[in-house]
Amino acid sequence: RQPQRRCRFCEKKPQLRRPKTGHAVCRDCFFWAFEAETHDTIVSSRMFSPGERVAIGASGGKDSTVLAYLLKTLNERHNYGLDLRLLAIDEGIAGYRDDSLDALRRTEVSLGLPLTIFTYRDLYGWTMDEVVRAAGRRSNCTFCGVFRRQALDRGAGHLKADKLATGHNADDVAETVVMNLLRGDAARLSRCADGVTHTGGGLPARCKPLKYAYEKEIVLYAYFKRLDYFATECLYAPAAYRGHARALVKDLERARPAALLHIIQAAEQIRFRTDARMPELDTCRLCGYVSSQPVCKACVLLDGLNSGNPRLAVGKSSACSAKQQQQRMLTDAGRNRAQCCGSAGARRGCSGSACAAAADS
Amino acid sequence: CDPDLTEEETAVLTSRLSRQQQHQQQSSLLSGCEKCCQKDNCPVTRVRSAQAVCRQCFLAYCTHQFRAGFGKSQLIRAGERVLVGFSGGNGACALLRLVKQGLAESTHRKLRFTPVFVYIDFATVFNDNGDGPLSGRRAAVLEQFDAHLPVEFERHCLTAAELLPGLSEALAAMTDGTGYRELLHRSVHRCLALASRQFNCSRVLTGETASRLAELTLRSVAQGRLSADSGAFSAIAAGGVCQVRPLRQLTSAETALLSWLAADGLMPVCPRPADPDSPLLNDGQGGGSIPGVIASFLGGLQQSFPATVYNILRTGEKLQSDSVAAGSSSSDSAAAAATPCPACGLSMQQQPSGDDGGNVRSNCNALRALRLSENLARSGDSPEPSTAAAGLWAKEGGRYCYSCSVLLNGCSKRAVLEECLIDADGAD
Repeated sequence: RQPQRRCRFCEKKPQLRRPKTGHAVCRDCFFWAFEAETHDTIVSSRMFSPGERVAIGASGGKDSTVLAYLLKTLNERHNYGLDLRLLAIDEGIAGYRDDSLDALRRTEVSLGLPLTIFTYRDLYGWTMDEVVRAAGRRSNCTFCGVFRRQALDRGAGHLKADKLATGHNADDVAETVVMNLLRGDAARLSRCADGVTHTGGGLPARCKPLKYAYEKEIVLYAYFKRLDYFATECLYAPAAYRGHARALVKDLERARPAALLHIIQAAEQIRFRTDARMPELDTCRLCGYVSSQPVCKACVLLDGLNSGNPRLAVGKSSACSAKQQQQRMLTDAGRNRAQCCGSAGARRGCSGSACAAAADS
Repeated sequence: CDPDLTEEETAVLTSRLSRQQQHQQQSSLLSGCEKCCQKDNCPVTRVRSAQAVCRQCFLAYCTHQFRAGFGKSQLIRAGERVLVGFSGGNGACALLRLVKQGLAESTHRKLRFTPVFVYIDFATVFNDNGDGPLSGRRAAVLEQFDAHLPVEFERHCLTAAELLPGLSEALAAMTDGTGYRELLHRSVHRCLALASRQFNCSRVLTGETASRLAELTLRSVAQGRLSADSGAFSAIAAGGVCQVRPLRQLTSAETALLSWLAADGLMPVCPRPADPDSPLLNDGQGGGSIPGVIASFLGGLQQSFPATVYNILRTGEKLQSDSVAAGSSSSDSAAAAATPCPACGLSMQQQPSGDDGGNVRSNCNALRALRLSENLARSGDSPEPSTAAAGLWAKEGGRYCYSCSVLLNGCSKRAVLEECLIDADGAD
């Protein structure tokens, strides 16, 4: 490739080559282009409305730090009229999450956005370190992913947010598309490329403002803007199935940089047959969270952990035993509810223990 | 032995392995085939249901998978002329063997179509005038025709350079490996379509296996399209040609095993037609090509997760077809109303429109984001991208679908490539 003498947009000397387009640009024009593209994504998808409170799912990593910075900048520049809050989830992974939360607290100060932290311990009674000790290192990402998704939704609901913005970038979305295709998960494939996802059940809608931003460009943006973030992979991540999809996406990007957006394009344009059977979203009968099953995955996983059989709901043999487990949980919950609240005053989501704990306290 | 596991975890895994070993012992050489339950029949492989089967049961399994597709689809009627594409590869050998077996007089409920076997010779496209590997391949294929096809079966050898005169020039003008391989793949099917018209055949049978169709599905996704056509049992391509893939339920490993176990002397000649010296096919340099990346990825993943290929195909079964010809004969009004791309016959993918208040999906999609990034123009210090940027906001009025546009733009001799791809005489 011939070295460029001038930035694509101005007369200055180029300082980097954009991974997405190959254009040689100076630092200022790169900032301008990156911010303009994000603004276009937000506006063209009608992601936000004036006056909305937006909870930004923040981990202290590069994606969420860049997202928080961008939303604050664009909110002021283009008068979105948004009330921005930072929302973090502490999974309880020693040597990983505590360091990233320190970076997040510094971001809270530098950006002036209020930060709220929810912990797995508070929500579920387990930290991820304890989960891994109980369930082993296989399928631990299943536990963490399920728990974190619900934790973010519940946290955003606690903040009374209208929308939950996450830092998922183009690489993440492309990996998710490939992963769902490889696993044959048509239901998730149908919605994984949406920029705005309405979860239902009274929960805030999820948005991905960085959906078309390349991960490499996010890194460059954070680097040149000197943003403070924590850049280490989770200790338990290497064995995840997503790693296979990530390897493929990286190789495809190397072969043709536009392949990432092509994959997202393929998922956005997907059309299912009208007679294709898809699971319908309802709510969990125990906790009220959105679920396609009578009992949501988080409740099932938690039941496995609490009963000393954490691998009951994960792995190949889970299909039949999971149904039996759900049935048992519903039966026990009904019995507890009758004993706890009484049939007349039964509260949704009461499994007996919450009421018992409240009574104790 | 994973050093990161605790003693308890190791004990749990060890007990599971013991159960697996016990299970395997039950279907070991001493126990015999799990299908026919004959202890004397030694198992040779495991099929999809994880049953250990003997040679006879495996051959019967392959035959059943081949015949079941025809039975379910009811696509081919008695007496119909059907073109059978033969490349000399694994899948093609399996297809020839199964078609011949299915049409044999002694077969119960024999197939009743009339096959026309065709080999497309690419030797002159790559300037192989007699001494090269492609000429040797042609000679080997013609020998196989003589040795394994009954005399009454039609067989022809057609030259790709005669069917697509500009192909050699177009291939030389491709600027990246992905486009090169995509053009090669399309040219094979284009030649088969032209041959089917020449020999008055209504269907084209190809030896694409489940593994190959899963690859094609992933390739299609990586180039911007996910529809049922890439991995379906049958698909209608440009020009209205119906392509049928009867080996859809068999993996490449199973077709290779079939060739070995059949022991009838019909063995694959060469994997696929390609110029081995082309720098564009050398995946070790410059990032490789999308087809090469996907082929090596899927092959590796399939070994660790044997259901991968079938998961991809099963997902594809839930999708609508993008074929306009297929849509017009079904209740899919969207596909029926769509304009077909003249290069591939599939519906034109949604083009990004301007901010005209239309639905959100048409205003915000990856294609639009890509065009915005490629066509950004800055006017002074204005934070807004210039609206004059390459007509971004004007409605796209391209003649081809996005995937074909990318392919055409990747060739320095676009007009030559268009002649190769466009079916001027096709019936739409």
